[in-house]
Amino acid sequence: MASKSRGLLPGTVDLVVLQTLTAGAKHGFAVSRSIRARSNGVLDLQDAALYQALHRMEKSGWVASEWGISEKGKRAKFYHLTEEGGGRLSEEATFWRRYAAAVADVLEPMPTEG
Amino acid sequence: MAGDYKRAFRLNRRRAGDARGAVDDELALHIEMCVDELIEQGWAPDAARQEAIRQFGDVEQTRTYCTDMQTRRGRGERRSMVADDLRQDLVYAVRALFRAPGYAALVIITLAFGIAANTTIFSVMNPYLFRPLPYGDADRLVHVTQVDPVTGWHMARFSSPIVEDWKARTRTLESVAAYSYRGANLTGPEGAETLTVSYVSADLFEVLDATPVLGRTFASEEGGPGGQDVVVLSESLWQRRWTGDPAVIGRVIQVDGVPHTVVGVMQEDFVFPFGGVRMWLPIREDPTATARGPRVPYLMVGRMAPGATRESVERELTSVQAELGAMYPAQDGKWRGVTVLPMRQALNFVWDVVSVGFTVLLVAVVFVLAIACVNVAGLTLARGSSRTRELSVRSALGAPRGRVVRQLLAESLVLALVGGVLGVTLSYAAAAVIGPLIPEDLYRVGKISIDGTVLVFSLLVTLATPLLFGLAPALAATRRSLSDGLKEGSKSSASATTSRGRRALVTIQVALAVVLTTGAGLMLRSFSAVQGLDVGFTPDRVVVATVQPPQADYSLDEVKAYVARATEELQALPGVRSASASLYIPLNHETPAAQIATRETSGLPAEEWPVAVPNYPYPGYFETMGIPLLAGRTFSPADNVDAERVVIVSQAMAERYWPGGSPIGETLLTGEPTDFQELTVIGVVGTVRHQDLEGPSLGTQIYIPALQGGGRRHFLLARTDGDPASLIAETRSTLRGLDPNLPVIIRPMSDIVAENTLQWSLGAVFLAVFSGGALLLATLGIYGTISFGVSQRRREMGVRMALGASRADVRRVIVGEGLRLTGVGVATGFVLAVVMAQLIAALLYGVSPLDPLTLGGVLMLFIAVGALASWIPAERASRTNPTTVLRTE
Repeated sequence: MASKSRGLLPGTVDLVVLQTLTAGAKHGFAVSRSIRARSNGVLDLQDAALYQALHRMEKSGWVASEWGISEKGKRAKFYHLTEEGGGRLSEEATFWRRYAAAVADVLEPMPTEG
Repeated sequence: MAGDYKRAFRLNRRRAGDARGAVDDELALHIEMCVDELIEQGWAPDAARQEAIRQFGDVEQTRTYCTDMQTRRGRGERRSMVADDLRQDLVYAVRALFRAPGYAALVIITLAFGIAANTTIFSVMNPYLFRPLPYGDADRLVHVTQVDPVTGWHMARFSSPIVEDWKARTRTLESVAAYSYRGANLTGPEGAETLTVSYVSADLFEVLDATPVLGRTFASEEGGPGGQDVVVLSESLWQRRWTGDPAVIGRVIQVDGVPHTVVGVMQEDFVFPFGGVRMWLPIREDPTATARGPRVPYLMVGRMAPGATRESVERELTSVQAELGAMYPAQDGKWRGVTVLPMRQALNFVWDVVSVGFTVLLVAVVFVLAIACVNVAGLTLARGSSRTRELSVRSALGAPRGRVVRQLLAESLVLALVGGVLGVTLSYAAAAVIGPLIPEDLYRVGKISIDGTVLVFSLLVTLATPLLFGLAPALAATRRSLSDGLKEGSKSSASATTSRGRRALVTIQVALAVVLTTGAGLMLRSFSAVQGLDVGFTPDRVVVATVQPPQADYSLDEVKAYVARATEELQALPGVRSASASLYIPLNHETPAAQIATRETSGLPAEEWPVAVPNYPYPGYFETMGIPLLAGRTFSPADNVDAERVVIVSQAMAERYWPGGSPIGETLLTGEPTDFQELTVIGVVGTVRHQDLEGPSLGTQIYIPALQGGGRRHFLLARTDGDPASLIAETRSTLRGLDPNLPVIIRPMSDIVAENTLQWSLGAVFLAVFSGGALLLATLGIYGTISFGVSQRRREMGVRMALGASRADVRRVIVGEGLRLTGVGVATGFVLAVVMAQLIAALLYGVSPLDPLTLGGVLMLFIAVGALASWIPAERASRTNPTTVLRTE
């Protein structure tokens, strides 16, 4: 499934999406544009992958949804974080921070001997 | 955990179809928002759409994936996908329609009227043409009639010896029963009334295979010479007179003053031989003791033996008749062929009119429904063009075209179903109004009502309408959305398709409305022709009282005395100009026949003696009925049994048998070569329409003084100077004063005449209502199309006016267009009307189906309507401000 999100590493899609939802309920398009804006366009999350992730996480119970009216007056599906999703986010975020720090550490130039 | 429970609960309940629709909605919205964003960034609409879809990635795979996630669909659930899809389509349709309440309401109301018209007419036809006869295995029942060689009439009647001879000889009929009907008086503590009763063979109910609801039918020994005074009641009489009291069985009631024991009550839907018959009594005649004479009171029904067909029965009975003719040449020899008819057709007196009339009405309501559908199709087409964008997103998401068409059809279906329910509700009310308008004596099974058959018919009609009004617009809308996508600039080409479609629809609508209006016009012309028809007497201001003094209370001489006394008292009433009586009256659905001859023709064989319509009036009859005396004198009280036998003839009769000379003083023979009376002609009176208003009248009429003949049933007649309605009450109290136990039926003569014009008055009313609706819809259609065209062409109008065209010029252009549109419709309609002329021709009176006055009137009407309907948009267009239009567009 993650194979479709070519722009992001496996496992990171969920993290990014969950993080975006911490600011409040959003519909899919808003999630997509929010990620694009916050990563300055670096994180290229394909819409197909975004929606698959949203639905997968909804099934897992990390996010929940309800139908509402979008800012342009259309009927839209709004997603919000569940408690479970919040817990999952902090676990993942902790892992990614440690992982990123570890990778960063490893990427430091090797100290020369002597 | 509560959240988990809730989620699980919801997910388990969710249907695959719902989930798919929800996913589609979600993804469609996303793409639409992307497109909007891209357009804001300066992309062209079609390119924006392609880019949005490209950016999205694999739409179809995502759609499937998300749906799977939503439903956790297993293998078993896949099978129910079709049902789910349908359910989803319907749910969507309802939602979509709530978003367009104006459109939905208009469509529902239009369809409701169309469906109501169809349901109502079908519910009226149903008991006459379709509802199963209330007899067991009714397909094997036939009505047997002979053809009278003299008059050519069917329904010739039989004497009881002939019935017995046929019964003994036939093999193709397993059983045969005879019947007759007449008026009878029912008296008792419940009041006196005159009813129609039927005398039947004791085994009639077995032959018909009809069972009573209460008690029993006749035992075989109750008929014939040794029979009993027993009677079977109709359910309606039982309910009305005895309030459904089961204790009526065994009760003794007075029929024509003779005590009869009630043995049974028939089922509610039992009808024989027609609706007005309230009681059945056994025939008590002894066939072996009856002469094979001219007394032929009976009609005959039979049940075909297994394997027999109407043709085989007809062949066999014809040869039986030939055999009997050889045995009794004087009596049976004078009958010609035998005709075997199905029961329904034979029992309905006016089958030809009924079957053709109902066909015309059914065609008319189908037209009404077609016009309604065309109207709705126009609305749907317009709605489709405004939904292009929504539909194109659906297609872009991978919904196949068939799926989108189905979705649109589901909307039409929902509208049709709501319209159908409303229409059927309306038709309940309409059927209740129409039912009583049709005389009860027209053979029908049960009441005019909305029953199961009618509901099935309405359901089929309702289900057919979406295909008529929804399919073409759905195909048009999806074709457009596939080719044009989300192109904003494609507005004009889409509207061109819509505009062409609307024009075609309006043409059809106008054409159908023209056919209906022509039909209504022809019926109105027939009605007015028949109203203006000289019936030979003046029915206005004449009141008719029907009395039938019973044998038990009155001898024939006492009847004459009663009639003389009643006439005298009626004459004395204030406002009564003259009063009289007779044994028959014209246009009362009874045509007696008498064979006649002059001195010169008396040598002819019996079957060549011509027939005339006899009547037996009392003195003062011609004055009271307003029949002019043309020569000689009318009857006086002196023309009684002791005086010379005299006769008055009609003018048509005089011209036919004594051409060029006066018949006064001539001799007329009536009866048969071996048994006739000689009558002296004493007068000539105007010819009246006796049998009906249509066709060649049997104008040869003879009048024989009632005082020289005799009969039991009489029509008492009184002509007033004032309002005949006010005379009815006085007539009733006068006659009640003479004999409180004698039932009387009192009606104005004009009502009796009006019954003869019912087919035209009812036809004109129905068709006028239908064509009025059709005209209204067609007007709206023309108006809508021209308005739409004007709104699309504001720029053109602006340019024209900028170039110097005046307001009048603009109006002329638009109205001209409306008239062209109308003209094409009218021309098409006239072609249709000519094609259908033969259908309605049989129903018309004194007017050709291509009557130029009617067609001209219809043409003028539609030109006026076309001009009117396009004048309003033309006026609007002429107020176009050229500079505003040119700047904004």
